[in-house]
Amino acid sequence: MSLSRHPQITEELLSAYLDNVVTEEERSLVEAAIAADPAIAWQVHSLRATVQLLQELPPLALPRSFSIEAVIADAQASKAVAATETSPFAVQNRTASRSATVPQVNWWQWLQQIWQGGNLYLRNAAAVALTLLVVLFVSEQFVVTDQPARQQNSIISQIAVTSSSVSANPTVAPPTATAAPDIMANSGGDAADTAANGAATERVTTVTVAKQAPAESSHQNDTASPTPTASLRIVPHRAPQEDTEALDGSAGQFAQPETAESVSEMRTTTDGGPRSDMASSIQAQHAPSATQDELAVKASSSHDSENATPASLAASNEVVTATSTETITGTVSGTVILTISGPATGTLPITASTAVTTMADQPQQMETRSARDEVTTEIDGSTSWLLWAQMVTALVTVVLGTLWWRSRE
Amino acid sequence: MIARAVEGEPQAFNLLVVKYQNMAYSVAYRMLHDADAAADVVQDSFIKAFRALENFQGGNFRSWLMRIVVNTCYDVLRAQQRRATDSLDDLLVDHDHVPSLVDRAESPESYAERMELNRFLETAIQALPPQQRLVLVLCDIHGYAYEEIAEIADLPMGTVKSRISRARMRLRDYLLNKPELLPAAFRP
Repeated sequence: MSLSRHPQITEELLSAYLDNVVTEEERSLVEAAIAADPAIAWQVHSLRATVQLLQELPPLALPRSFSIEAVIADAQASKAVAATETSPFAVQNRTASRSATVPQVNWWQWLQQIWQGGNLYLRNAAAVALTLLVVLFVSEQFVVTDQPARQQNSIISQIAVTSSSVSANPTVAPPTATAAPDIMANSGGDAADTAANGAATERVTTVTVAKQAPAESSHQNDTASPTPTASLRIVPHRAPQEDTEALDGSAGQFAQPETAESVSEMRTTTDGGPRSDMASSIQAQHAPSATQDELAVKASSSHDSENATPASLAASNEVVTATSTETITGTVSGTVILTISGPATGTLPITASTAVTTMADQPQQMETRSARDEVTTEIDGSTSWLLWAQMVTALVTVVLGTLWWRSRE
Repeated sequence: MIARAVEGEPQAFNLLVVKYQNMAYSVAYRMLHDADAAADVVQDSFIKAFRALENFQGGNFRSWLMRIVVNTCYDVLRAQQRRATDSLDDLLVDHDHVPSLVDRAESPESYAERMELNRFLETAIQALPPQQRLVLVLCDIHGYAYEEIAEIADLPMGTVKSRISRARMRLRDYLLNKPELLPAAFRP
């Protein structure tokens, strides 16, 4: 806008004149107009007074100090470990007189704040170690639980049955080793591995009775009593120390940490109905191996039936024989627990057989039941390896987690 | 001190804060006319300036700092325009109160007159459009040169001159509504 009588005198020129940012020519022009025109003079004087009022405004009182020591300290700490972000509106710089309320932080935001703090590399490394630890624990369960399913598909029992009638002299036939079984089915090598690290796997061998003409008998009588059965069951498991005793009654010696052990439990169950006498034997024999001398076999036995008499037990590095002669009625079951200690790795085939000879009510009749089973148990050190891995991973997780947590401070 | 702050010395930057916080708050308050908002803007501006020290390539540190303050004020003004709602806090604020310092050597009558004039003057400043208000505050209240104002507001020199002249004219005309408060120089 320009003044009408002096078109070259504009408001901008007057304002610039007040700020002394005009040329000499412009200054002369303005001063000449001021002298000549009172209106221009009033414009200049009023504008100058306005500027003067603004310049005389008192300074405003600060509501607080705006120093940012907290932000600076935080930046220094961040440079030391890692860059972290903080809110520009740090609560430390607010006075208590502010009426603004602190927003509530829910648990998810709290977790996010914790997760986003500290050294990111340490945090990620600790998370990876923790994940690996969880995987190791979970894999242990899968290894244990998976083996029974594998074993159930692999072990095939052997059945051998012989029977004979008694002679006129009703004597109890001594327990004999079974004849060559008619059916032999050996478990496959890859599927016969038995877990030696704690899980019990049961395989039941059921014997069916088939009568055969005795070689020496002159009389043959059919059995009128119910069909007796004998079963052999090998249950590999890791028995607790208290349940395994050596032959002399002292506490069993278990494998040292550098070795492993395989524990097989063989149970025989007989149900021959009313009997007058029964003799049973359990033989467990491991195949000769190059490390045979390093193996140690201990055995213990127990009977579940109150009617059974204690069995005599003999064990050696090759054969464990449990023999009992007892009069039973009903069902009796016996258990022989073998603890075989050996080197940390290797396989150990175990052959177990049981023969039960029972007599029916008539002394002339005698039937022999037998069952045989084989199992290959593997002695290995997988359990100890897994345990060491878990311990090391747990230690690494704790160390990394502690370092990350301290980096957040 | 600026060089030490740029090099990363933390206490040097705090000294800069103490030196420029009054001016920064004055500009922010007169831009926003809200003490709390102005305080937040100033705090935020200093934090931004601290973090952007690496980008400061020398020159006028005061202008560089004020540019951050001005931009932050514009952000707040844009946000206020978007909201365009009244809050309870605004209803409770005493708009007649101007947080000025007290001169203890002044007589009560003079103090009262001065306070009334100051309030009226602040009201007149608030009546200006934000762009004119900014250049007026920087030039006439804080004494920035035209070149500095152009750098702070990111404007051409001609635009700065025209806005300053229009702001002064408009402010003078607003003040003439209460001539009894004005000095004799305002009388024709």
